[in-house]
Amino acid sequence: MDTGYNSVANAIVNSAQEGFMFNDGQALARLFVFDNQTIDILGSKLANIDDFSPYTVLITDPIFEQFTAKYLSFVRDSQVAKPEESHGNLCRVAELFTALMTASQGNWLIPVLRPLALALCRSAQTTYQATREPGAFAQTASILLRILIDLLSDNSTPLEQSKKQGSLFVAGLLLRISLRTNAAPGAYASKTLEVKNLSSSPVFSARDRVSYNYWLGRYYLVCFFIDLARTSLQYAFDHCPAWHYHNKRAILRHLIAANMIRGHLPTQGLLDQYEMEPVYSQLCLHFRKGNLVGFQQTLIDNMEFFRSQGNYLILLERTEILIYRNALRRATRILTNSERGKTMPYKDILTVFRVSSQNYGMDFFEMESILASLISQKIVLGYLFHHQKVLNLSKKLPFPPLLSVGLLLNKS
Amino acid sequence: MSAANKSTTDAATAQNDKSIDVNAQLKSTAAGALEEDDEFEEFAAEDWEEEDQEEGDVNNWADNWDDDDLEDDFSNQLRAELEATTQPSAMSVSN
Repeated sequence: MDTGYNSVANAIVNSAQEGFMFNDGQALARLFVFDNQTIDILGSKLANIDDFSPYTVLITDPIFEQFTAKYLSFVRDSQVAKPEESHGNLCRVAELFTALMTASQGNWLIPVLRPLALALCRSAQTTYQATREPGAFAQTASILLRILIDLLSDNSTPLEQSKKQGSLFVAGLLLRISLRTNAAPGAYASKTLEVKNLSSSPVFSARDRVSYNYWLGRYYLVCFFIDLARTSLQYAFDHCPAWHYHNKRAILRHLIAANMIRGHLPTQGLLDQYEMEPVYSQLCLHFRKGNLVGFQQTLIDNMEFFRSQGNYLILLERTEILIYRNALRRATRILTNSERGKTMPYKDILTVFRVSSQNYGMDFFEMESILASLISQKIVLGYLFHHQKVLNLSKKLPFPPLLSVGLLLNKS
Repeated sequence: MSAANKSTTDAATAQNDKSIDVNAQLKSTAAGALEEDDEFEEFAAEDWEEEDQEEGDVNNWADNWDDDDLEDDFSNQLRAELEATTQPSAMSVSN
């Protein structure tokens, strides 16, 4: 219950009013903080206030008054509320902030947006860990989407003064959160792709460009847009500062997966430089050898590792054809001293694929389907003679080198 | 999609795994699920110097996906099975 005048609440409100009147976003960002430690301290000082309206009444803007009151309530209750309640309170703070941004001109509120949006995502994660319900992620994604729509709608000012300055950051967060929801990948992400055209502008910080490209690359990988994923993740890796070793490794995990699907393997030097998990070396070894069962068993043995990244299925499914290619090439090298090197009977190829996959139930039909796929994608150059049951390999270069292979997968 | 059927060549497959020619420091235990701390972090710094970045090093990625070592266990298994396919099958005698 209220026990009289609270100087902390009064000081916050007065400073907020002043910052708002002078459009001082930096001052408001120092005031409306969202780090847990500061919130705990502030919350203890506001604990005796039931109703903040006697304090916020002096704020002249009605939306900002509601926002300030809601923020103070959130801070006061943060220590005692359950995670899902606290998250709900923070969502209402964010919704009021969205209304505030919509009503404002220019980008002066962007400094407040960043910590608020980050806090929203952290809160969603905390709520999920406490309840194992993904609803908090969907709730957060909806709010971020509304914020992003508002940011992108600011066409009245040059980019340097526009609300669009916050769009790359919010888009990156939205992509991050959308990966945690149960929604289809494009449900929240389509708006984030509008930002892509802006991302090369120097108006955006290196931080925002790298983060955005990382999450965009992750999104593309989930959607099986492999080449787009490679481009975005490579940008993020190249432009991530060398001293941020942690993020370099985080990006590399997904870049390795994307490149591996294209047959582009990391060198051992790269894996050693970033102390990547040993499983990557193992996968590369089996991939080169054409040992499909070895590759897949390694994935299975490390299933939780790859599933936690969202890369398990894509690695399991999208590398198979290339591994069969490597097995076939290996077999031709083994047979090279015999006349059977350039023309391979189906029975030999079936043997190769069966050994590679350990699937001794594979029949000629399945084998021929794999061969047809290899040839149609120009991974192997040759001709199938179905009735004679032989594969006639190109005399010049039956297994084209990596860089000359055009793999016909999703391009958009 | 290959099945997980195992055959009498399980032993050969197991040999394949043992013969993995990787750095001796590599651990054999499986990697567990990534913790939240392992995930991508938001950068504290807003900007950094260009020299802090490492532009794409062509030596980071193998430009050749071919492996010409034919003396490993997997190649030996492949060789053995291919040679077995050339053995004439027992002639069936029919009257």
